[in-house]
Formats: sequence, structure tokens, C-alpha cells
Amino acid sequence: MNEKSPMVEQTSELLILDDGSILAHNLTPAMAELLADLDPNDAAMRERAKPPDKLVEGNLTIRS
Amino acid sequence: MPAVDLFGRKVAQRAKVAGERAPLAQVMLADCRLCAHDCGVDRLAGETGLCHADATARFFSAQVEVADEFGLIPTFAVALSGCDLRCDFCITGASSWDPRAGLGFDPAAMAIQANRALQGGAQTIMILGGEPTIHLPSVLKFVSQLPDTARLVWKTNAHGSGQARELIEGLFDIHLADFKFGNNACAQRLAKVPDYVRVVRENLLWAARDGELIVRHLLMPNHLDCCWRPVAEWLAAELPGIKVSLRTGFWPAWKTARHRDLRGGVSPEESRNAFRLARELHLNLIT
Repeated sequence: MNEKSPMVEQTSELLILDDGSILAHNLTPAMAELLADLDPNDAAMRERAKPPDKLVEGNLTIRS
Repeated sequence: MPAVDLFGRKVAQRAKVAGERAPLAQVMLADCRLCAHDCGVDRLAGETGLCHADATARFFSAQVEVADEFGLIPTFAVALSGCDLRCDFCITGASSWDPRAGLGFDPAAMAIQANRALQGGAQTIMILGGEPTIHLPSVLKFVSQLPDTARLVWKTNAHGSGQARELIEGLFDIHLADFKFGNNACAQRLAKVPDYVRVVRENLLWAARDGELIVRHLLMPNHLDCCWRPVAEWLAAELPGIKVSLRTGFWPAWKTARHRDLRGGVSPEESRNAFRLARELHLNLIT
């Protein structure tokens, strides 16, 4: 990384809570894929990990 | 009003218009009133206002991300350093509070990276911070180098001034705007910003006229009734049908330890109640 480069290294941040749930920030496609693999039941993460042409716009989704 | 294509998107000469506005924005730094703090300092002479930014822009992140709303991802997100708010719970506090953080922002070089991301499948280019409003001269130079067909997202804290609105009018396809606090007392205590509610409401009403608007609210622990409820009720009354992104993954970051009410996360019960309220108000929730 140097001043001439317009890019910084790719980063994601994770926070693992006491109950085992994981919060993610700056989620890159690679990290989304990893998280989707870790929890195959996480449908939202699976959707985020999809290749661009497979993504669909999310409509009303209520988490309860 | 800008011309639009068959899909209702703004395309005509956006790059040209942005290029024309960039030098105007640069001159405005001599009496900076880009945000609602209205400092009036001469940033070209090295003076700084509440955001502490001089005339140079820096960035602390530029990468393809997939954490935003589904209609926007994958997005090439460019995060500029520095912000005019001082949210103690800011998840990027170290870089957002420090306009000297990160690397120097070269609009032309970044545009090359953005174009590369678009070719690789990114659906949008998102400009955020910190708060990008305080770096409008550099933002406009960046936009002037992007293809007119790119879908641009303006991710903002909605605390810009009328002057800033004139500079960005018609340039962004989507305004992704935070409505963080439902009352001025919480805004003052947690982000050190006065007159917050009036300013944000004014900006949201304008943004809804200027392009597609998505309003984001990060649910904070213990702030459902004082913050989310008034935000939700106002959105239902004044911007019915507008897309609302209610986020419940509060991350107790940065200086949240200063505030007893922000320690810990949002409880499942708070989250359920927040979404129940949204349903009762018929908000157009998106994820």
C-alpha cells in the first residue's frame, strides 16, 4: 500500500456476539461466501454471496 | 431537471455537469458552508471547522462490498475520511472523525478502479464517508470521470446544506440517507449535532424529489421509542412508500462505552418491536 496506489487492502470486520451471532462490517464478496459456508442456513448471507448476475432485489422482508 | 433514459435513470451529461460544478465547489471551500454546521471557515487557507477537514480529501476504504441493500450490491464503495457529525457509536470512528486518515484521494485514479469494478460485476458505485458532503469538490471531480450510465449512490448522513444540495442535484441515481435520531436531544448527546431533526427532514424531502431515496435507520439499544418511533411515524406521514432500511445489527463500537444506554446490542425483543411498528405504519421495508 503506498500513496501512489488508489487502493487499500480489502478488509471486512466481524464481531462475534455472546449468543454466537456474527455482525459484519465492510462485507466483501469473499467474506460473504465464507460466512455463507459457515452457516448454510443463513439465507440472507447466501444471497449476498451470490455472483452479481444472480442477485435479486430484496423486497419486504420482516425479521421476527 | 436532468434527462433520463428508458428506465428513468439520469444519464445525460452527468459527467460534464459534475466537471463544471467541481471548480465552483472548490471555491466554496473558502467560506465553507457545505454542511448544516455552516462554519464559514476558509478551508483553502487551512482553516478548519467542526469536521476538521482542510481542502484535501483522503479515503480509507475502496472495495467491492455486499453488505448494503440488495438493490445496490455488489457496490464499489469509496469511503472518504472525515465527517461533520461526531456519533459516539460510529463503526468507522477512527477514520470518520479524522479527515487525515487513509490515503490521498485521486479522483482520476479512483475512477479507473471504479470502472474496473463495474466491468467485474459491480452494480453501483457508492460514495460515502465519513461524510462525503464535506469533500464535494473531490467527489464532483470523481463523478466527472465516471461513465454517465453508471448507477451512482450518494450515501449520506443527510446533514448537508442547501449549497451542497445544489452541487449534487441530479447527479446521483440513489440517495442512501441515514435518519439516525428521532429527536434533537439524542442527536446532541450522541453525535454533538444541534437542530438535527429539522435538517435531516429537509434533506430527505429534497432527496425524494431528486432521485430514488432509501432511508436507513440503525436501531440503537434503548432508543426504540425516542428515536425509531418518531422517525418511522414521520416517514409514514411525510414520505409514504419510500424505501426504508431498518438495520438491527447495532455494533457497540468506538466510544459507545461513554453511554450506558448504548452498551450491548439490540435485544431480540427490541428488534421484533421495531419491525412490528414498521408493519403497523405500513413502511416500505427493504433489506
